[in-house]
Amino acid sequence: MMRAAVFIFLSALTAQAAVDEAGFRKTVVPFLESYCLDCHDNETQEGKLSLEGIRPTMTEGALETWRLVQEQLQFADMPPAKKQQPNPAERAAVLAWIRGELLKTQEPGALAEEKLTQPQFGNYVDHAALFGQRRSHVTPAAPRLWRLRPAIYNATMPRLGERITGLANGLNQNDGSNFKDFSAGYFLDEAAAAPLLGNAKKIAEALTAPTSKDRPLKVLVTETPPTQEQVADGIETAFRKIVGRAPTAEEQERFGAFHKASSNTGGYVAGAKALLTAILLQPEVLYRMELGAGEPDEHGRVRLSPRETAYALSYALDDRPVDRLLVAADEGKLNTAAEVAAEVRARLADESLAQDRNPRVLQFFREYFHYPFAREVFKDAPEGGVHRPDLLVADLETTVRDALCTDREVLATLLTTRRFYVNANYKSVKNKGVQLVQGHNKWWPYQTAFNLPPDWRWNLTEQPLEFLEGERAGLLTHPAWLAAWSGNFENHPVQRGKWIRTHLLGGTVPDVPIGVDARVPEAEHVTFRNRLKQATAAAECWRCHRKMDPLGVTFERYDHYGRYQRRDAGQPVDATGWIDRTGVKELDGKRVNGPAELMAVLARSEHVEQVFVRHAFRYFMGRNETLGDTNTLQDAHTAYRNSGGSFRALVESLLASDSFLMRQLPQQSKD
Amino acid sequence: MNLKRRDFLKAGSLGAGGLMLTQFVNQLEAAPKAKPARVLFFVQGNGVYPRDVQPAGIEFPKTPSKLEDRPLDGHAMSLSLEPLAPWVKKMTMIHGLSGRVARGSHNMGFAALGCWPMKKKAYGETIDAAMARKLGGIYPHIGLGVSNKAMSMTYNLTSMARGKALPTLLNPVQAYERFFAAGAAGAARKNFDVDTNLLDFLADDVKRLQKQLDGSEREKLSRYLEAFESMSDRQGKLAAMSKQIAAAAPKIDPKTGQITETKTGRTGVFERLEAQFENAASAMIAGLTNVVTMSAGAGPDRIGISCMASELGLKGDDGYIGAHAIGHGNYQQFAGISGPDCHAHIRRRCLEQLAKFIRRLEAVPEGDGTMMDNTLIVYLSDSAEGHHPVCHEWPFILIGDLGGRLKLGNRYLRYPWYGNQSHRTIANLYLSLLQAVGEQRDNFGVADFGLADLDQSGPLAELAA
Repeated sequence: MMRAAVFIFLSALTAQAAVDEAGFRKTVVPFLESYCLDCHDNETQEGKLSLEGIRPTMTEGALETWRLVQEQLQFADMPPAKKQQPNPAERAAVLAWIRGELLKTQEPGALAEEKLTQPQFGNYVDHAALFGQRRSHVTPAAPRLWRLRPAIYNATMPRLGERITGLANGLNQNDGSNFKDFSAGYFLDEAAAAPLLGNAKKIAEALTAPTSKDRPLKVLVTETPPTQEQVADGIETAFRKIVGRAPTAEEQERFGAFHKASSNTGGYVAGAKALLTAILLQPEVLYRMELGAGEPDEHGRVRLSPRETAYALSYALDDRPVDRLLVAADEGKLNTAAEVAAEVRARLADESLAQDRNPRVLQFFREYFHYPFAREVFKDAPEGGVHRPDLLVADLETTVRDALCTDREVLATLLTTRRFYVNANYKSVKNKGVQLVQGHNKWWPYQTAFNLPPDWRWNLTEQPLEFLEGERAGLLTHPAWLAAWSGNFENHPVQRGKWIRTHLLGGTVPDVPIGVDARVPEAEHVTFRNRLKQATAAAECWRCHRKMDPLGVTFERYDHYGRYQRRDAGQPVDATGWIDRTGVKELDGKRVNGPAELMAVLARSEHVEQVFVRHAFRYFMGRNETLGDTNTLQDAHTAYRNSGGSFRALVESLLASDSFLMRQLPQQSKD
Repeated sequence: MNLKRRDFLKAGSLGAGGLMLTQFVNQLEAAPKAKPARVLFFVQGNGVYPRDVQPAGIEFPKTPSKLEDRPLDGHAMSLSLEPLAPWVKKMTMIHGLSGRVARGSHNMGFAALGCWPMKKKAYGETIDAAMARKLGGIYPHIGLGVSNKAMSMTYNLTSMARGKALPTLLNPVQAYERFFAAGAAGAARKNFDVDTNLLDFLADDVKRLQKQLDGSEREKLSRYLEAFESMSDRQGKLAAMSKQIAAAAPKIDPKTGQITETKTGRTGVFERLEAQFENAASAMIAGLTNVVTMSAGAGPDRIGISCMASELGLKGDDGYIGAHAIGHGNYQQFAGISGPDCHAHIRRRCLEQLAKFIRRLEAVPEGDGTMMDNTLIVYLSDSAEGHHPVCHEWPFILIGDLGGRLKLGNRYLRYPWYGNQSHRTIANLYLSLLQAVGEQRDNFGVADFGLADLDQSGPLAELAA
């Protein structure tokens, strides 16, 4: 791994082409002088940024500045609206120069385009275009490899043999509040391959152990060396078991030869284990293959093979292959969108209270709202109570399960409900199936997070509790969500506002510049809202914070444990806020008196619903949408709308779409 | 990179000639190159309490404004540091460095060695990875450790770049198998050779699939291909060094490979730590690595080490001593003693294992002295000064002077308190380490905004040799 990195570094050095200085002088310098240096010269240094004398080289320091300039120009955040604006051609010329120079660095993520494959940049695609004019057809993603997410690996690998435990965790997963399983986000390198190799050896050991149920594999390590037929049989069995298909004749031959060579080196027992280890480390085992098959259509698109479709659907809904789908593939019942839709519909029909038949569905809401993170935010116990984030998360999830079970106006319900469970979860009870039961009988008085008194008498019959209008309104006012989006000691209106900006309004907020002092000043008798204002009111801060703070401060209605509060630091709470810069007429300029009104406004908005659909798309496709997915998104939104807000209808529409089922061959692409 | 190739060439000649280990080391010494340099970072979970490590007879001012720099010998070591007392002349105790930028709740994990906000996890290059990059080796960095969880590996302390965490192996037997197979005899050695075949076969296999793809998907597979090629390349180097690996390989008790999570019986955590130090010493002696990070219950997985009272040699009722409980347990008794005392005993048990590591390196001649002379041990907690740290102070204990590259040994340094003139941060200490091995840098990690008025750049001037 070290070696690989050093290599990349060296190649970056040696391969770096000369700087296009002529272009810099001709295009960039005049642009900077006309539109930027008024504020960003050495004298004024607006926002502590000076572009005077900036070098045209993308070396450390300057690189970050150029990326910033690129981002500001690309999204027209600069020059400020009141200043003279460059025309689109001028903008494009400068962007082209920056892009070219960034390309030369070969730095990962140097280009905005590469960034755009990451989930946090999904909103950068124009919303109005996505929900505007329909296109003639869908342009799906190129054929792709998608590294297994850890959950799939952990669910499938130990089941290959008897008593396989303690496999090392070799597959990384990105931290943070974005969707985890994106195909562009992961690849296998040496850091991953080393532990996977260890695991594969362990599994190979189990597959050939006396306890193994696979006789053709056990035979390979018995007292006498296996015959050629036995080796061929072993390869056949191992392929079917591990790869999920029979080996080709070429593979039979190649793996047979490998077995022979290994046996000559280390004996036939070692040879057999090496053979199985090699099969377990096949890219096809560790990557989901979505290459497509068959003749391309008139747009140069190929359909996923039935097997690929079965796996893609399985992993969209579950963490393991779904037998029924694999059978359907073999029987030729996954060949059309209608057939896929029928299978998905059947699979999604889950009437159980716990809604756990398709774990990836509930997981979407976990990753979208990111409330389980409450468990990671360390807090001391509040006075007179205890802080039990695990119980709060379980409570919130009971509400989500209800919404999925009812499957009516799912988003609006989750954004506005004031009926919450307290210490009541769905659990499987012996001989009675899944029921609503008491979550815990020990951790009282954690219910103070809901402003329930310390001596509150718990019961099952009044669940869910109905809170007063204005007191609670939707998941964002649930103590678990509030705790997840808070600091150790204080609220975090900036993060909350950012969540609404990105996840409901579909807006963007640039990364926090690393040089920013992000501390909120300490002061007695001043509300947190006002202290935050002191920190972010400066013009260079407010330019981004205006997208977040006016939304996030409405949740000052609650303290950082999620308790409703009338006073903060001894002062009355000001929970008013406003919505702007969305580009949506009915939202922009809207003032709200608190979180409940904010949520009501957002829940009514069609725009918010579309943004929700975009997020569902990303999660289930494992990639960001492009303009090529316009029709898919519109169809999914229509399906959701026409079904009265059914999440199942939304998922069905997405999984039966051309975006999901087809791949665009690169050479034939016309876009 | 140079050092790495030199090691390889030496090792190659060794494999053929079958020289003994000391001769190998002498030969290495004779090469017209700088003296060897090795570093062991030993990261303790749950805090190193400043008052608790204070030597007898040295005052403990609360918020000093002046630098204190005095000899350490002549002062008795506290209970937890007693195992290191024989090396007081090689020891440097540094108090008063801050690391506020890393501040988190129980453990700063990557941020402890990286100096950035704790929540950013593997945000950039940590100091141990940076040292590994400079010092090279067949394995530039080896991460070993123990945890109470039954995990075989974790990612908790070290990262070589953003999002590129390096693993910490938590199972001593698996670590042994990973690093010393080339030196094994009989079937184990044959397995090593079969592995080499396997890696070559896999590389070939990935190439086949790659032909069917283009663009970014092809690129994805090249990383997988590189992995097998690089591992195969290393196999070749290891095979060439098999004799010296065999000579240096430790004897690891197979029982330490069976990790059980228990709160009622023996955890075996200290035996595992002992075995990991054996692995670490052998890896350095065999010439496999120059940088090891040893984790004792550090990182986001654990708050520290938990064990049974009897495993600490405490008399009286046996019972489980949970790391989190003792962190909160100022007024609670565990096996008859307070929480902080329990923690001191746990640290003492850990440092007993470190002492064995030092003795092993001292037993191997190198140049005019021993391997230990060219080695530096950096002892710290990833949780700074306490269970709920505020990181205004972050105690460090160093042993050795990296072959005279740093002015260390028999020193007690207390830097001015946070915010005072001449106050310094842990980043400055890390810069000292980097400059000692020839990396001229003035900044490390992310600066502390709370110290915007102070110059936070450059190494600790007091440590310049």
